[in-house]
Parts: sequence; C-alpha cells; structure tokens
Amino acid sequence: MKINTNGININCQIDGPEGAPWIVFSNSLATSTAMWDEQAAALKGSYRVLRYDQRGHGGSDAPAGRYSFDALLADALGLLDALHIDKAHFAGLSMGGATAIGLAERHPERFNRIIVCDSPCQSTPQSAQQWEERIAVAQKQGIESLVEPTISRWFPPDTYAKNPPYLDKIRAMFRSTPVNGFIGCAAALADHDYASAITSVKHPVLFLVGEKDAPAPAMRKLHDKLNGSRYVELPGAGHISNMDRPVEFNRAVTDFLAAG
Amino acid sequence: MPFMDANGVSLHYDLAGARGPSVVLMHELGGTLHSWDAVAPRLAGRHRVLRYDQRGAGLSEKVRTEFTNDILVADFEALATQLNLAPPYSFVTVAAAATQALRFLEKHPDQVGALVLCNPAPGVDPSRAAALDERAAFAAREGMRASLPTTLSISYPPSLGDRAAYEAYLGRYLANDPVCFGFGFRALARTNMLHLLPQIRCPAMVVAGRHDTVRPHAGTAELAKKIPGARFELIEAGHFMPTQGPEPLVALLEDFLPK
Repeated sequence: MKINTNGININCQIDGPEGAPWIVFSNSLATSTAMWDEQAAALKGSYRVLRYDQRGHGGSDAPAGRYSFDALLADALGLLDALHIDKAHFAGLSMGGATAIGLAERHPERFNRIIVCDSPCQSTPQSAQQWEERIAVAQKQGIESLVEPTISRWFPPDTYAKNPPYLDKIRAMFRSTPVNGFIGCAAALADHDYASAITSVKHPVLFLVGEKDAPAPAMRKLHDKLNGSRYVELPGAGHISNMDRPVEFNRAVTDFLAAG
Repeated sequence: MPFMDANGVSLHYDLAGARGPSVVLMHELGGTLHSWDAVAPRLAGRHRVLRYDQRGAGLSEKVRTEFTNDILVADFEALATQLNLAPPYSFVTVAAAATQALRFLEKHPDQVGALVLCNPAPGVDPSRAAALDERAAFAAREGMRASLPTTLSISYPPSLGDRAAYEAYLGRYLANDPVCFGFGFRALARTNMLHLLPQIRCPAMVVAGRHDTVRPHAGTAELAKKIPGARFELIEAGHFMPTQGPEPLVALLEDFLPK
C-alpha cells in the first residue's frame, strides 16, 4: 500500500488485527520492509504491525539529493497521521534505529515504547568521511560495487563464510535499492546526532544489538546514560541482528513490549 | 634477505639500490615484503629502496604482545636509523599501511619526501573497532584458511593479474601467523589518521585500483580530495596493486618519486 505524505509516496504494509496496539518497523540502509518478515510473523497475532520502506528504499519514492534525518522523521510522522495512528511503539534498525530514537526525542507524544537496534544514534567525523566515500562510489560505480564490501562488514566472519540463504535475501534488497535512495539516506547518516540528547527521552527504550556488531559498545554507553532503558546483546549476531538471530530478537522485543 | 633486531624485535628486510633518494615500501595487512617483488627491483636503479616484513608478518618476529600503529612506526624508525638510511623518506604504502606513513609524517614533517598511498585506509571509525576485533579473534581462533572468505577471497579475485603471482600471494597469505594477523587488525581498529590529510604539505599521490573490491576507487578518489594538491591516479589493479598491477604502479612511481 502506498501512502502519499511529506511530498512522496511511501510504501507500507500492515499485518495483524485491527484494534491491537500498533508497532512500527523502520528499515536500515539498503534494505526494505522485507527485512522484518520474521518479526511481522511473530508479532502479528498480538500487534498491529506497520512496516514501511524508508524514503529512497523498497517501493517508496526515491527523490534525488541528500536527505536529512528531519525528512526521515517527517516521513514516519506523516505515515502515522495518514493512517490515523495516535500512538505506536516504534522499532528500527541502524538507520531505522536512529529514526526511532529521533522520533522519541522530537515527537515524544506520539510514541509508547522505543526499540533501537544496531545504531550508535550519531555520526562521527570518521563515519561521515566514510559515508561521503560510499556516496561517491554509488554515484560513479553504482550500487553493485557496494554490495559485497558492505555485506562482509555487516555479518560476523563465520556467518559470512557460511553464507546462509538470508544473506542472498539481503543482497537482493541491496541491489534493488535505487542509487538516489542510497545516496540520500547515506547523506542523512553522515550527519545526525540523537546520542547527545539521549537523556531527554522519557520513553521506555530497548537497545538491542548484535554482540558482534560495531555499535554495541556505543549502545551500551547510551543505555548506561538513559535511566530505565534496557540493553540486550544477541549472541553471535552482527549488524542485521534481527535476521541473524530472529528467535532471540523476537523474544527480546516481545518481552520488552509486554513489560509495559 | 637479512634480519635486524630493531625496536626489540627481529625484522626481515631488503635494502636495494646504491644511491638516490630513500624510498620505503610498506606492505598491506596480510602481506610481506614479497608483495613488492615486482616493484622494488625496478626502483632500485635510482633510489635506495627499503622494504621489510612488518612486525608479526613474513619472516619478521612473531610476537605475542599486541602492538599499536605507533609501535609499527617505531619499528621503522629503528630500522632506518640502524641501516643509516637517510631522510627524507618517500613512503609507498598499500591499504592500512597508510596509517604508518601518515603517523611518521605527523611526527617528523621535515623527514618525508613524498607520499604515495595505494588504496589507502587512513583509519577506522571508532565505532567499527568491534567488528575488526571480531575478525582478529576469528583469525586467531580459526586460522588463516577459515579467514579467507572474509579477507582474501574478497580482496584478491584469482583472475586479477598474473595467476602465478596470485598463487604465490595466497601461499604467503596462508603462512601468516593468525595471531599476529589479528594484532594487525586490532592495531588498525584503534588508529585514525584522517585528521592529518588536510594538513599534508609534501607531494602526495593517491593511487586507486579500478578493480579494488574492498575500497571501490570512487571512494578513494573522494578521500584523495582531502589532501591539498594530491595527485590521483586510477590504474588497472585491485586492492593489492604491487602484486596485481605492478606495471602501471611502477610507471607512476618512476614518474612521481623524487629523483
């Protein structure tokens, strides 16, 4: 289903019974709603599950230019407005995780529980430089040249070596990401900071991260700063922790949501 | 090739060329001084050319104490001093070795003649340290062969360049001490010299491999813009260009290095 909001069409999908509490899932860079298949299947019995493709991804429009997190937040809010969702739980991974915490900071009244997965919630001068390099690569060499370097970075060495079928699913999502969308969102990732104001968040927050994912130490620090937050590391998981360890991921999510 | 005790470890090195400006060839993570076999002899006519196995690599000493980028730089300083290799030094580095040349430049700005950074990895975002540590732990635990799918299989497609050169490279790669190989990753994970790029005042050339699958060339071109006045060149090679594309690299070096 496409929703026109914030000046673009956003592709989304709803599973689960009407009237159940809403939970929204927001995808990472170069993936799509399909990354959440296991979560939607596990939660749709008890929750109204809304998944959407971030701007520039999946079936959503991919305007040219550099996007900002302000735009990504506005997309999510516009989607809630269009679907008449007053309040929702919000979960996101990596770029989606930064979206989740950004929404909690900027629009606290619209959300209940926040799940931040595999995101340090801020850029650094070094990561910004790396994003600029990747933007240049996407522009001049295309998405394909980014696929394997990125996949090999996202997954722990033993997982990458075993090459389970879900890696091909991620490769397919990556390859189908429009160059405009990759560049636009990479520019947003090169310039964001929701970590500095983390203590302003009053929602219950779950920081959920793969044990072997790069942002794990930074996320543990965010958890230490934020009273009442919960921190869960998924053993053996890498950056796309929900696909690496779906059972454990879903358990952490359902435990956290049930705690409210 | 000879050995020398320097900075507390035994370093295996080769110093070729009787006269001319000093050139230092620094090999990549997982490589050895033999990574330069097709390059060093070609430069030795007009330069003094030092290449050596980094601490923990090749036939240099296999340590069990973790090392840092600063320790690797100190290895070079000790080796060059003991060999009476005179500054200024022109460094030619591959990938992660760029961090050593840049650190040396930061410490001794007046002792660097020129920089040639091949597919440079000038440092790592601190948030990625854990991922590189994981690679290090994996290598130490499972060995070099098990590490191939996440390392050499990506960085060195066998079809790239000379097949015999690939076979020899693979053999040397598998001969790495996996613990020291891991130390190299851990040192890289804790190093970032990105801040130095805008401050570079010596002649600098950044060389990218058209077939580099680890650091795609357009990203390297973007990085090169950070260095004031840097020359950028794109050649027919992959990530390990001294082995994969020695001819075009040598041509560039002959043109660029101080005469």
